[in-house]
Amino acid sequence: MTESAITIEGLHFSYGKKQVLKGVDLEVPKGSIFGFLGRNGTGKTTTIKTLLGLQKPRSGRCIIGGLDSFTETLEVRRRIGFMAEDQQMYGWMTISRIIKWVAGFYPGWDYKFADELADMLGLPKNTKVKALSKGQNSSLALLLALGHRPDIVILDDPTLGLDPIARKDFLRHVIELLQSNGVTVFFSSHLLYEIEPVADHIAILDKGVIIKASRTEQLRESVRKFVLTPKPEANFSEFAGILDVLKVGGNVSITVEDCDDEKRTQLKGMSTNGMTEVALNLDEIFEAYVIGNRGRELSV
Amino acid sequence: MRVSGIIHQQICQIKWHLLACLGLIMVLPVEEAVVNLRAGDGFFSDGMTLVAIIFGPLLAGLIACANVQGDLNEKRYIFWRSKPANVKFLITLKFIIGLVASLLIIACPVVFHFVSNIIWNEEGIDKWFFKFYVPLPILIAIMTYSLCFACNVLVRKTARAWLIGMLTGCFLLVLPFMLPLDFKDFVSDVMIWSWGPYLAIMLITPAAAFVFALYAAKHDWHLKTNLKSLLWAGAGLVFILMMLFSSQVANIKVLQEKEIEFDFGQGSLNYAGSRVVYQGDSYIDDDKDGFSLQKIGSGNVRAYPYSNIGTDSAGHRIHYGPSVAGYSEEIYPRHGNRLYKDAGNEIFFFSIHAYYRSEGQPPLHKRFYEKVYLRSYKHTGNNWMPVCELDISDCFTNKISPYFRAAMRLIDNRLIACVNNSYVLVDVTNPGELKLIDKKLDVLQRFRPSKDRKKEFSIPLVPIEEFGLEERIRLSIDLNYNFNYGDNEFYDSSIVDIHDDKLAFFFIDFLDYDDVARFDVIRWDDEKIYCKYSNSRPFTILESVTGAPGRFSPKFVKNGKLYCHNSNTLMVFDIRSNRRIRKLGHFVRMDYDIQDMAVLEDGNILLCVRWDPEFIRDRSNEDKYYLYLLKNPE
Repeated sequence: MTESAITIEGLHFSYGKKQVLKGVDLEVPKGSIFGFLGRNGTGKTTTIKTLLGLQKPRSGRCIIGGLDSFTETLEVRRRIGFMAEDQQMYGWMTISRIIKWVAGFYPGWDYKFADELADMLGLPKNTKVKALSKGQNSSLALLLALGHRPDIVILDDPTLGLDPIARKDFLRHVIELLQSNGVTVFFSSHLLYEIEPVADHIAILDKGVIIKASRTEQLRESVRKFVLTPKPEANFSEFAGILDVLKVGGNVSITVEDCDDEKRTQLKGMSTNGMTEVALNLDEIFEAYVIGNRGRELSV
Repeated sequence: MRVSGIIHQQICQIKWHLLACLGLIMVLPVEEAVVNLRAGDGFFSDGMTLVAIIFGPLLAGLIACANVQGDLNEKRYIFWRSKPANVKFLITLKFIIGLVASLLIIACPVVFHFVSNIIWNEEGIDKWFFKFYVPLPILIAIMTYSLCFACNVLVRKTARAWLIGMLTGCFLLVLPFMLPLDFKDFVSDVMIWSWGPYLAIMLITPAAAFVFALYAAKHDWHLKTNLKSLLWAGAGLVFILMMLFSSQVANIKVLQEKEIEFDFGQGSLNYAGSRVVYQGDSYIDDDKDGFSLQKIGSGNVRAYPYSNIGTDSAGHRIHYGPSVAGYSEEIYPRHGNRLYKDAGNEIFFFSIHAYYRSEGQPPLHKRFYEKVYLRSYKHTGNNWMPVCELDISDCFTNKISPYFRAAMRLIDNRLIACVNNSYVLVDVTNPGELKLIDKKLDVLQRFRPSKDRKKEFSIPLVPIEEFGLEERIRLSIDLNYNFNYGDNEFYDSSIVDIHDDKLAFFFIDFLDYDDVARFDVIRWDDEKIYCKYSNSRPFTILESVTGAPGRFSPKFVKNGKLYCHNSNTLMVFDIRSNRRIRKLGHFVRMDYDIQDMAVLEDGNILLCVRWDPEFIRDRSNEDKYYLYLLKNPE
């Protein structure tokens, strides 16, 4: 069995009467780059804040590196690196000052490594933070999250607001720095194309619950789209695993999860003249899970 | 966590605010010093230092907001909170650094004042300034700093946090004026009582605000505010203050005010049956158009015992009435008050006359009370004439008695007259013919709850079998009430309230408790009534301030209300509940001297006041007397 870097069990959280997390369960394998997907406002940041012990859940627990994030908060934060979405730092500090300031919180801060990172990320040390570009700001935040060489890195929509080039640069740095060192990366984003090339595991959060968690490759393999012309007597309502159905003229396009040969044979039997199978990218898979109609249109 | 790094960060974060505040606070003292220098007096600051440090609490609030605002921006908050920082320690450190900066702001002009006065002022330093004027702004600054700090943690917007913090500070400082809270237990021993609530507020608020800020920062409690809701909240706060204020002062409506003739005594208002008599010569009648004075008898009546029929060699008015040769006279009730009996077409009053001789020269002279008479007087159309007299001199059981204390009560046709610790019971069915029924010597005793008033205490039950138990209990309390401290004032009223078959009476205690306290009669036997403290209603500073010229004492209890006044303030309390005494009304005339009061049949209050020209330092005017008709507060 794979060892978990992060375990979330039955996490419930509410802002007043508004229930945001409705029982999130998640396992993040050690050493993986874990893509945490969800639309805006589905509870990704809330999950991460709770994971960091910044807010207390109504129920459930989070284990990071074997430590409970609510009872051993400080130790958890010492062991992880975190970068928040659109993070603001003290603008009046210079880069070297803010590195020193953050280093003060970590007994195991690696100054040499931090210097190397600064050079690698092209950060001018005597420049004030408020003078940095958005890309440099993200690079600095990454440096501050990694300077103590954490085992687990949590990135909450780290490329938010970056232009495409800066985003690519940032992701390249993430891959270079983290993937080869066996660091677990928990990467939250709503930009699928950003996650797709780097994540080896994926979880999709929708309306406060995890609706799918799987290895990326496995997900790609198991979710398929079929285009067919249905027989008049074809009954799709009892077909298991339909994510989305779309009628196009006389044809029907069906997106199916956990696709195997048995399902293919069943679908073929419902078609008048064979069918076309289409492989989906992560973007389309995500769309099917999150906004798919689950065959309700067809059954009507 | 590296403390030096955080201290450095904090100093950098507030340095510009600190410098700006220091610049602002030093403007006035430095300017004054320059003016003094130009005038050739030397480069020192004087009164402007005080003006400057009064701004200290406002600037302390600014520092508080600047101190943590940089850390509480939503996106920056996540940045440092996600680091392994001990939030409580971090916030404490930030709080202390900001507090030191705030105190530095006040310290600067004070130090400048101190140094410049030592060096350049020939008169040296003013010790009073440092003893009394400096500590208060410092204490208030600590309070406003803490409040603004806590508000900023909660609201996370500098200007709003400052505004809310300052308003809250003002509210808390005004609150002791408004709320009858009993702070006394824990502050009375260390400060003058009237400052106790302030001291309590100024010590408790910073501590509470700091603890709140710690928890708010740790648990990320914050409020989203907008100007509209803040304005509403501010308006609500002002409304609450106004409601509290109006519940404390000036909520008794004046229905009528009339200047009246005045002859002698103290502007007395006494009951004659259901009517009220002013100064012994006029009935006061009240109707929907207000009150009017109707002369008793046919015409311009001069009241006994002082009359203008003659004066002695020293210019004193000569007594008109029975006297004892060679002896001086003391009369009860005093100051022109009387105990009236309305007998249909005729009106009588009763009084006790004690005669004494003096030995020795004042002030060491000694009085020897030997004779005391109970007399009845009848109104004869144009004068009060003595009609009957009872010699009750044996009530002075100790003839060489240095005091004369008297009390009287009229119950139907029975008059109880007390002299020192003895009493006589007299039949006054025909007031012109006083008939002695009973006499008991040395049976009255004063009572007053002990310092620990929560201890049960007893009052001797007056041994008059003729009245029912309830009336005896009431009589015992009224007659014995503060008996040895001064004249008993309950000859035509009572201090006892009977509600839901429960008997209670009231003390206003300025010596030990500064409140109005209720004592319940809990049981009785053949000899004593046993009483216990029930509850009290503490006075606020506001009441103490307006009540400063004299102590309050209970005037009387009537229809579930306690009336009391001192020289310039009248207060009315609802005393029907045995759980809570509720203040109903407060009436103040700062430059008037309240002489007497009465409650009329229709419930309105009649107040006799004297306007004293001394208040405006105008000796050319004579005293003026007024009658006020006031609406009884509900």
